[in-house]
Amino acid sequence: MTTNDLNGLSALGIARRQLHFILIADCSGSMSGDKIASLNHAMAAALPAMREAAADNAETQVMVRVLRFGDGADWHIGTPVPVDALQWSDLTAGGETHLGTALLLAASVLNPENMPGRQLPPVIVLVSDGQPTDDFAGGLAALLASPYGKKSVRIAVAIGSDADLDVLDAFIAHPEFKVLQAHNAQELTNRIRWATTAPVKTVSSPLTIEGGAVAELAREAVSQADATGELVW
Amino acid sequence: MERDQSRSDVASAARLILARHGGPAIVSDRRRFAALLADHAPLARREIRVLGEALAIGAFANLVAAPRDQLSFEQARLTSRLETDLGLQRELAAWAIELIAELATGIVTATAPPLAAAVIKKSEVQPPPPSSTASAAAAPIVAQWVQTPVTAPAAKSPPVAWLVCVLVGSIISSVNTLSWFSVFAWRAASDDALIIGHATVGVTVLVPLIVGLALRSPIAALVISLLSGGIELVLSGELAALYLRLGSGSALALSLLLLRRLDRGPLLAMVASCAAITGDFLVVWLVLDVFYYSNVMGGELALVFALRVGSALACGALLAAPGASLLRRLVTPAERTSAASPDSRPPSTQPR
Repeated sequence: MTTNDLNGLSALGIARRQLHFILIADCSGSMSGDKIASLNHAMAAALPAMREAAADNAETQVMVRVLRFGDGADWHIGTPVPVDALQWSDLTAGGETHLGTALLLAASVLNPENMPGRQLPPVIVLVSDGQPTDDFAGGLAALLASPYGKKSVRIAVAIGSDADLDVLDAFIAHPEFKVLQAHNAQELTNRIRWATTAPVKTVSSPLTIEGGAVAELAREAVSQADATGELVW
Repeated sequence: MERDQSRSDVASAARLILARHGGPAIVSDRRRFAALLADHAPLARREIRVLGEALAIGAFANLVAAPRDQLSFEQARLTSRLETDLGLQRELAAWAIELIAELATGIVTATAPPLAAAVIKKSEVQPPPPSSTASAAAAPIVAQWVQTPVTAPAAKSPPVAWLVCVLVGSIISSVNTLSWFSVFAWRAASDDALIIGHATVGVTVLVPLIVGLALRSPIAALVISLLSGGIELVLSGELAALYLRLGSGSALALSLLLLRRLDRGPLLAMVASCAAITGDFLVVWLVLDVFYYSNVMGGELALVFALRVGSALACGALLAAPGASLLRRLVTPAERTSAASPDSRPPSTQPR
């Protein structure tokens, strides 16, 4: 079936499932320089693979949002955009690390009012290089208490050796799923590419039950977690 | 220049962080403070890491707890510790400790260079101007105790303090001389002998005391005491004189160590000094009673002991009077601080 045929099915009332993908990007001052440049490059490089993964799952419509945080948090891409139509615009860095505020903002959209229709568990990817400097616990609690937040698949990518792994582990909140670490630009590109494509394939696969998707991703993540490149950050 | 700019950026960022996050308490959360610094001054990674190392050894807590009149001592000690334990450049270690001291106490010490155009006062917090420039980081280090290999010129003390010290030392030596003569039944000694005895004992007690306080060196005080004892031995032929100076020198060295360790202020340390100096009597008594004279009367020994203890208490009372503040200036380096009174308490560590 072609995409037009699928659209036709939609017109008949058979709605495609939506997979909301939310990228939460650390844009604090410590990300200035090569870190934010590498993140921008990684996202731009991951888009083609993300589109390809989405195309392989025709029954699923992948919608992308991007949330940035530094001093406070705001939407870099606030209205969900289909991955096919997504054009990446570079993030800039500056300010403190208000991750708690970012999680509160993310929690505010993880509900049926903002995500109507048939929904797959949303995928939230957090990318950070440091430690939160605001109320992280409060923000995380709000995220996990939201209707779709507690069901979400959460992935964390730590940039550099100064990232607080305990905080990122708390965000993931899964005993088998570990933080992905990136110590140079190439590793960050690889981690971002995997984090933006593997969940799309796994979560939207008809052969994967809801709870098993995370476990399967966790097993895949183990092969991604080992840093093998040069230690730059 | 790049190094100076990085240090200036970190210092400015630190002051801004304190202003935003409720005051100096944020510094005690080492990891969070370092994360904030990395956000505000991302290019100054080396300086931020050095600050983190300084905080890891407890620099902030130690500087908060240090009495104001010993703040510079504590800074110097922490600087040396960073240098010797972690192999940091002394200049960089000194800069880190000085910045932490400023954040902890709100005081810019006399040895600290102006890190930014704005100086944060205790009662108000202002972010520094963005165009502030940093001066060179190196600064002279204040005098330290013998335990550290670094020494520096001691701070100058007011002349009156020295006169008070001489007076106190003269009282100690006079009482010691009189008690010495009374024990050895030299009551019939000539006036010349008494004068010479006063002068001899006065010099051998006074000189180590002054030198030890001026150099803040217990070892210097002990060495000079032994040298003076040796001179007495040569002049008088009395081996007991050497023992006497060994006792008094050891007691003085111990009291000079206590001056730093106890952190109770110079007043108590000086009283301890006076009491300790009279402790040489115990050495003399033991040595003489066991090895020299067997006919020393118990009553006379008690009298001598009472005289010496009494002289120590009298000196303590004198020091508690107007002489106390003068001697306090003698034993602590001069500091140009915002507080006018030397008796003012350390600044509060509550959030500004």
